[in-house]
Amino acid sequence: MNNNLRELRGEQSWSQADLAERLEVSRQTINAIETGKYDPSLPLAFKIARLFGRPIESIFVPGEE
Amino acid sequence: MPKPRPLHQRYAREFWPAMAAYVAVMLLLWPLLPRVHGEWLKIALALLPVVPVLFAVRAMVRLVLGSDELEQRIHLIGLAVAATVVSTLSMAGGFLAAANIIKLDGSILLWVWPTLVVLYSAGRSWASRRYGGDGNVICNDGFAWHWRLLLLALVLTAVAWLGRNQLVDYQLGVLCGMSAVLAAWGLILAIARWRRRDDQEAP
Repeated sequence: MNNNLRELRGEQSWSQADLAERLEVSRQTINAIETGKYDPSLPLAFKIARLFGRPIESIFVPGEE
Repeated sequence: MPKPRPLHQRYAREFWPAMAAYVAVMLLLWPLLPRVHGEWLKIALALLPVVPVLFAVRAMVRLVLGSDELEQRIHLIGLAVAATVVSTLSMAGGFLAAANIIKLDGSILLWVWPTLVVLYSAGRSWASRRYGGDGNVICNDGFAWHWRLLLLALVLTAVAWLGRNQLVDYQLGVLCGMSAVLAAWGLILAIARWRRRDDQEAP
């Protein structure tokens, strides 16, 4: 799965630590999601979408099969 | 320096005193076991080290429960690695003992928990790196290194002082030497940190 979390975070001028604090997760989790090493659970993905005020499918898109 | 996470600060507050108590019990009270004759007192003294270990386990459980979803996955991988290796080694040892090829004493069970912890840490470190982490498995970023070393030096000094009548000269020497080295190391780190901070604050 691909995502544009890094771009969205950049638009807000937030560091990974800032975003992690807002989502109540570790900075490592944010880094792993941004680099595509970890796909978040559905509840966390919805939380991210709610935080940025966007639909979930505009942030997370399916990768190549 | 990243802000310490409250979860890790709580873990450090709960885990290290429990481990310090474990070291103190093992060095000061457990050696008294041969001198104790009452059966119940002997059982209580033999099991006494389990009490601080239970507090350390409680700290670890609270750390895992407070972790986020990726951290919990990393904990799970660490536990899976540890359980697989320890259970396989136990089974191999059991077969060799049952076949009278080696003799295993019951006290070998004492090694199960430390082996589990070491392998769990190694497994977590490996899994953490796979997810782009730094492999920090001690989760003590709320507790600076110089304080850890100074605390350890203090515990060893206290153990040496309290046990001065029952420890032999060699044991006392080792404890005092380790304590001095750790204290010196802690002080060097503390001074280096203060100097770095002063440099950063200078206009």
